[in-house]
Amino acid sequence: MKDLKYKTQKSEKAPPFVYGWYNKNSSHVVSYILDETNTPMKTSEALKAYHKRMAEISYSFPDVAHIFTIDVNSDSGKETESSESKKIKDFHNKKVILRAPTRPLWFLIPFFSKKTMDKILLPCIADFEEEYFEAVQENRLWLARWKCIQHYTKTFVAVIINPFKSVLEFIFKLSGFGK
Amino acid sequence: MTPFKKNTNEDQIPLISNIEAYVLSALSDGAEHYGLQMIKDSEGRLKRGTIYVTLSRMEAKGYIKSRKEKEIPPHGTVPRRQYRIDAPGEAALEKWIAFHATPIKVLA
Repeated sequence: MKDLKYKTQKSEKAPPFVYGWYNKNSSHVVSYILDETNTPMKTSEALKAYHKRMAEISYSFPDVAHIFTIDVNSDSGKETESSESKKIKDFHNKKVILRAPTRPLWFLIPFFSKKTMDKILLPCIADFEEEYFEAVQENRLWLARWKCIQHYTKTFVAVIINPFKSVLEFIFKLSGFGK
Repeated sequence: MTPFKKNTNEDQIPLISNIEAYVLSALSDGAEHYGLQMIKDSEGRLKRGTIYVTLSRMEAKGYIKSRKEKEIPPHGTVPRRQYRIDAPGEAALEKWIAFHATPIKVLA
């Protein structure tokens, strides 16, 4: 608890962090690692900063932040990359930071029509990602966690509760109550 | 007895709900807005859980139009959907404003 408090102090200098990209092949967020002046860092420095930062986030936020396999050989100082990270490196010549926290929502897509997907589910996911990454970039991990809960609930209400509500309203209307 | 207003031929424009009116008033500047932007601008009147269902229904009724953005936003993985008001929506909003501006006549 003490550690978390320390990590979320605003007076603390913000660590180098995160800008999102979309990798069409893997549907993961691909990111630059930026230094304090918003310049992309050198690979070796970036990897160290990345691992440090991700260790912090994963500790306090295990369900949301995930690390791709990017191995740094600390003895030789050279980096050895897994095939996955290499593939992603080819995509933008940059490194991967976070997997989108919306990943579970993508599994809902086959259960709904294209219209529901286009008009309800995907806009919900877009909002989720925007608010989540805003909070993460400001280093407000608790806010990001709260956004996750809020948006999962919102999506559940939008795609599950609302159709039932509409059916009930329709039945209520047909039955002639309220006239 | 509660007076129950039915749509007649004279009255082609249906009276919209308050939530629909809030959405239309958010779009009434003629510019395109996306859902989260409308929620933030509405000062708590529009809720995250209901806005997209409402927008979807309003689009089906012809009050608004939407399009998917071509570019993916920098923080996201999916393009946002932009909404703008259409002519029937403007008429419905005007009617809603007029309805709420008119004092209610109490029947003797």
